[in-house]
Amino acid sequence: MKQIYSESDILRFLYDEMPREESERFVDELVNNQSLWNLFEEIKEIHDSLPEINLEPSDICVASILNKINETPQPVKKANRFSSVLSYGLPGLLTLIGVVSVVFFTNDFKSKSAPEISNYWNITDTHQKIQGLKTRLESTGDQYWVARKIYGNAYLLTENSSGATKMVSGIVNK
Amino acid sequence: MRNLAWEIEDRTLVREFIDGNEKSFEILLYRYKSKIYTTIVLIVKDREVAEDLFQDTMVKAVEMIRAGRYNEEGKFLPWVIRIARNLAIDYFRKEKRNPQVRNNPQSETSYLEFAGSYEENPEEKVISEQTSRYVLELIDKLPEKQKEVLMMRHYSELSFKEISDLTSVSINTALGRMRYALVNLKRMVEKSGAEPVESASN
Repeated sequence: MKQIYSESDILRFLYDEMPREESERFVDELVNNQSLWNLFEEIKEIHDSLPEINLEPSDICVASILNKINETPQPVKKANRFSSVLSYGLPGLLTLIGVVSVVFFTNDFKSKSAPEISNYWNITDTHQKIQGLKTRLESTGDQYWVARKIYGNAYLLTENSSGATKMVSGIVNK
Repeated sequence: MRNLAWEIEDRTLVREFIDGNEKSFEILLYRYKSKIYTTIVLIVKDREVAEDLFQDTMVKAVEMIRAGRYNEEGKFLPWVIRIARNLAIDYFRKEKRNPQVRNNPQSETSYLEFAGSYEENPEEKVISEQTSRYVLELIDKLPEKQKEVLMMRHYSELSFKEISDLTSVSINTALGRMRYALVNLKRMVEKSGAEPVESASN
């Protein structure tokens, strides 16, 4: 749809307030639309007749302003509650977080280094006698997983909490 | 059209001034003193008075910035022009109520100097200046709101958007007032003594 340009658009163009793409379309229209061109010339003529005025204050006036600005004291920044919290409370909070993190980390590490046998199938003394198994079991938290890894699909000879057992086949040979 | 890089720098300069760098405000002062001062002169029509008001404007601007009353979202020049305009209008109203007798009364446009013309011929230069003064006298006869928009757009170089924010009207209204201002000027030039046409939004 063809845009219809008004005197307001001419003013926006004259004062360089038209976006570039719109300016290009406007210029195309100016070239091809005689009545728009006539209107543009009329407004431009008045615009160009406005005299240039460029007045400067005296150097004394400017110097006086700068003196007054330098004399006026800077207001003392009021400490507000928020800035007080930031400057005093934040370091304390960060320290507390650090201490708590260290404590938790230490406890967590301890629990991992000496895992409790809490799984359903308990490792029997027979398994633990196999060379290297005990060491491997102690170095990992997942004892059951290690046992399955070593013995593949063999069942572990265990005794669960209700006293039921499962036979392990070929465990001694492995 | 103002340089966009300048506008970004204005924000930085104000921020630096708030942080204690007084040199930053000096840069802003030198950058915009002509536009602000010209705006004031065109309202009060007296250069001495305009200098006093210009000082008051800049000192007030500094106080407001230091008191945290400068809105960073707004641009520096329109913000200062608003302060200048308010002070100048207040003075003008007081002056109308209690006119002061001056030792050196100035003619209607004697307070004005015009930018150097291209005419080398002194006679042509004189004619050019006389024409300029005549046009300014006609501008002075425009309806107040049309004159205000024309002054702010053409001489203070505020954008139509900034003018619309300053005068609390829509951009279309600001553009309309400018349009009527130019149309009225043309009518007055063509028929000397013709009354200017007021727009509906005036």
